[in-house]
Amino acid sequence: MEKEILEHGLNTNRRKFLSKLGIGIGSAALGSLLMPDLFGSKEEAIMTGLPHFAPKAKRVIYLFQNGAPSQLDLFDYKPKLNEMFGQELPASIRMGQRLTGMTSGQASYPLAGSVFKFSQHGEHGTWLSELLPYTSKIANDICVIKTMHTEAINHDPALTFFQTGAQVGNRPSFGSWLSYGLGSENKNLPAFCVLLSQGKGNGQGVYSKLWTNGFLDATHQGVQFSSGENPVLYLNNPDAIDKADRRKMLDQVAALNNESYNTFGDPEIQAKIQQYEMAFRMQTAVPEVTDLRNEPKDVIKMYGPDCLIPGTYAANCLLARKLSENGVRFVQLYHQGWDGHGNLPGEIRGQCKDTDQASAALITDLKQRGLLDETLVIWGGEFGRTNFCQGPLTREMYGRDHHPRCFSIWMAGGGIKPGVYGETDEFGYNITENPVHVNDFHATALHLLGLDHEKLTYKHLGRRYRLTDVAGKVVKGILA
Amino acid sequence: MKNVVYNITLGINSLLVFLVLFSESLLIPSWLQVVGRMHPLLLHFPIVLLVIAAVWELFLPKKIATKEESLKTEIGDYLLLSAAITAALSALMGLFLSQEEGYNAEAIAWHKWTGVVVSTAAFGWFTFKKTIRASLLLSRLVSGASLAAIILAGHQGANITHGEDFLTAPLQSKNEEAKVPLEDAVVFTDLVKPILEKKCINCHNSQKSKGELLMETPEQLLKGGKHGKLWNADSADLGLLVHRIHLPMDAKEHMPPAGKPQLTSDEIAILRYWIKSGADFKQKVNELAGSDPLKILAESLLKTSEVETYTFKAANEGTIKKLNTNYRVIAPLALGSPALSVDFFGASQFDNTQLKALQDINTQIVQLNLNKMPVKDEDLKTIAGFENLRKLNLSFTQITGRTLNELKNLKFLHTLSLSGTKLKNADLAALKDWPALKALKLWNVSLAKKDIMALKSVLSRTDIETGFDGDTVIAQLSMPILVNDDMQVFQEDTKIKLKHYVNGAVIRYTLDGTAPDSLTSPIYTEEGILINKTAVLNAKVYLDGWISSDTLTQQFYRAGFRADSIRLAQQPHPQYSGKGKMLFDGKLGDKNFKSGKWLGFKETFFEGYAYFNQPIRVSKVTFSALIDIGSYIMPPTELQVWGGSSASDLVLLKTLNPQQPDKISPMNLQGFECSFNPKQVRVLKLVGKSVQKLPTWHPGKGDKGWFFVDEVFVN
Repeated sequence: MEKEILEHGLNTNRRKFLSKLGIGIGSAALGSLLMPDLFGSKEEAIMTGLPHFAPKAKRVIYLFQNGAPSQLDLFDYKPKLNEMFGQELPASIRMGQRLTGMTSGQASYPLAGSVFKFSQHGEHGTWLSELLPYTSKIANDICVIKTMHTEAINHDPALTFFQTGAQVGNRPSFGSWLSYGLGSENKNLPAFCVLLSQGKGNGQGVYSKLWTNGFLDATHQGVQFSSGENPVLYLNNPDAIDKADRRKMLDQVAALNNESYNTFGDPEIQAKIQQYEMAFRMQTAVPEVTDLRNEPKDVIKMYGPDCLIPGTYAANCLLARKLSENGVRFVQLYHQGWDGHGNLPGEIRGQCKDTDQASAALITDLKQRGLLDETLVIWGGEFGRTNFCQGPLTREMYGRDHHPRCFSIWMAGGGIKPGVYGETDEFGYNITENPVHVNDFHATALHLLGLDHEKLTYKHLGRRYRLTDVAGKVVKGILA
Repeated sequence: MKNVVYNITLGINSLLVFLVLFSESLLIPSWLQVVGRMHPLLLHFPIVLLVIAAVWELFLPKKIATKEESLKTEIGDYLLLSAAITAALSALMGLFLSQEEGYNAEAIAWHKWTGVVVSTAAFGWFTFKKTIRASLLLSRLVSGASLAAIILAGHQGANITHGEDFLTAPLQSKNEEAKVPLEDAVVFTDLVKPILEKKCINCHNSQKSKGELLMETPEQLLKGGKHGKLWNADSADLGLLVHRIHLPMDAKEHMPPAGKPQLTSDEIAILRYWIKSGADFKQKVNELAGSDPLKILAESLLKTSEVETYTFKAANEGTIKKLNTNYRVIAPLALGSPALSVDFFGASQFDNTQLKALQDINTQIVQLNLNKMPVKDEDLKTIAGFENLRKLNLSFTQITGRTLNELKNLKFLHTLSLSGTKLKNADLAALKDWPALKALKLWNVSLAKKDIMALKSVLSRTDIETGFDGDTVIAQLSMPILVNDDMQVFQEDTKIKLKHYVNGAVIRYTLDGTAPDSLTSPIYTEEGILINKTAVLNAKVYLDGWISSDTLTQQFYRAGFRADSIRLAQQPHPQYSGKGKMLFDGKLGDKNFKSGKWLGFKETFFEGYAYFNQPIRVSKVTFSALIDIGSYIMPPTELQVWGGSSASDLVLLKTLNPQQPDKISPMNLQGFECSFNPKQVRVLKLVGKSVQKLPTWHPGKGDKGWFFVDEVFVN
């Protein structure tokens, strides 16, 4: 409590007073400088909760494949690796790439071609492996980016980089930036929802720091849904309390909270009041959205019958569609189990079985409802996997270590031009054309949502922060 | 002193005028180039001095009477003289510099002459200062004229260094100039030529043809320069032009020269691909193949922005604010856009007066989302009043299509979603002749396939999306789910509870280890399945029109005697060293070998002693083990059960050699039963031997395998 009182004191100390006074005088004097249209230039206000320009997409569904799926077994077809099976990775290709502690001690780095068959699909001739029969059917709707790259080489920093634009934690998450930049579409649901599921493959953790609001207002934090029967817990009123009682109770609590806010001026109190209000509206909105029982048979067949089992990836995809359809700005899924260091072929079969059908179904479902053109769907992990084998190598059994220099993701929906973007060398190790950095990826996604990534800023600790920090450029080649 | 400086200035000015007149044939030695390059340094002095002098002159007294007045005039003299000499020096240096390569000839010519004018004028001013000072008017005129001259010369110089529009760039609107529509674009005129104009022509034009190369017309380009033709599509480096561009920056022949704006990678790519494809001056972009890199580059460069501009006025902000509720969200498409998008949420909150209330903004609504709202046929009349509507979502509303023709008044409507509605075929006629409609969503509608096919033929310009058709797909049901999954080991009679989520599906099961079938096996009911002894459950889900599920197999153990204490003679692997007590805790290990609920043995065998305070009569010991072949976890090669009244008098009761697998199979839990003649014991010794050499078919052939055990049942 003392800390809060101290902080409140600091809110109105001499320095603050003087600086506010300074601003008052200064702004009178410099008013003309701030008048935007005085000399014909059009500087837009930085923050208004509206897109900076007409957006292509209004919402995002991010299907994060946590643990890093092997691009070489799914998207990036490299027959050369099969030809050179077991031969050493040439030093001219590796070019001193640092390795993880898991393979740095390995005496040799034998190339491992994929055991899976590849074929071309759709009008863009997209190469996809036999593990993705359902994704193959939506090849005309997706853009496979084969040239993503990152600096991080271990899961947590890489994942944090993708989610927050920085490798160290506690920066606001992608979804939080969007919630901050565009506001909530449906005021009865959180703007940023998080759904978790676990595959059977080797898994890596996800932590709430990935959907943190960081230094942004607490209302922008991602809301994690439970993977049980009730996605949002404790939503029902207890016995003997009806809606009117609840309303009355909340009004009283809000009055007390407001009083407390007037005393301390802590913005967290305001956030709290808003959260109570939203929870009240969620009491009716959430059951309407999350009830999967009345989904038609077609939908069950499309996503696969697992979509009715709470906590599965398929169920989360279906729920993601329902949330997005109801105006949730950002639905973040995480599916664990892609970290194939040892038994990669075995594990990736299971992972694909769990994810392929539902991911493709989500695209089809959005499309047939007329929602795909206003929703941006992203599928991908935090980095790629090596073209050489970790551990013992046979044609059928191999492992792959982490590889940050190139990996594949796909995007679909609002403003995305379907096809294939970028090219890697014949070893699938380096990028030869059109690299896309994580910062570029963020800049592009924000662009599709009508936001200029250089203008979506928040001032904290004396500097302005962006999701893309000081880098990133929009990848024009994937825009429709 | 004054005289010396004056004479030097006179000398420099004479030299200057002479050199300017004959500058065509001027050759600058390299040491003079250094002097010339100091022009940008020195030029600031004459500017400042001349400005000060010009102002100073205005305030000079007419007549010199006092000492102070004479001093003022003296200072004026010095100011003028120093302005004159620095101006002359600057101009001379500038002249040297102008002989170097790479400047815009026209701009240089102008700057050269204004420079000479400033220099000679300053000198003249000093020479005739007395006459000028005598007349106020003349004094003012000369001051003003020299100010104007120095500003003009300085500005021209700055333009040469910083670029044409450096000074005024921030004022110019950032809107890019109008682009050629992609379908009319010509590769050379719209892609190649702009690059040449921006990055090459400054040095290769009719006034300044460096390397005897002109690049203004196709003919000139084809002719090439001093070093020959510009391109050769057959050579590996595509000829001179591309070769020069790709030379390293520090190479003398690199183009554009160091210090000049360089080509971007896109620009290089355009030049390269254009030359490679034969350098056709007439090739049109839309005649190129879709995968042609030139076409892709052209598309990204020439793409006209598809952002629609709306001509109607924005709605009153107050009105928008008033109409916004938690269930009816109205927002501009973007900052400053008059167009509004309206979304309705929460079907239970909807009634059609909320739609009618949008009258006040009926011109501004361009997107309307009524997905899942109980909208009725008569409401389409209201919607038809939103004259600028582009996109309308009526999926899963209650419309029947009777009033669809109302929507035809919406002349801008291009996307219409009618999925999940109960449309009637007869009403589809209304959709005919609707050229503006680009996309129509008709998934899950109550229409026959042939009707939709017929519609597709009359609406040929509309993309009709019919989505996923579940009738053509036979899917497999998922396995039943065990609700009470902590009951695999039970003490008393217990009920197994199962669950399945697909409506109408039935679960059939067996308890005797046989596979369930769809006809005779008992059907699972809400009651659950009562079991009273160790049993294995096999259950499957069935539903007409679906493929039956895989079989759920689960072992249930009736708990037996629990050991009072346990001692492990050999320690398990430290990573999988669940406590020895776990063997008798009444809980099976789970399907994750890392969960800490397992004892894992590889380097050592499993060898444990179980002590019972009271003698027990034993006839069966069951080992529950994890089999995960992909993770090198195999069935044990041998299990032994020893028994006796103390650890020193044990006899072997049973040896079991489980069958080894011959291929990789999914992970599962397996019980290994060792039955023997009943015996009274107080101590049991249990031994489990792991695989010493993995078989040849296994990826880790030759390595040691693992034995994972949790829970031992003594009955």
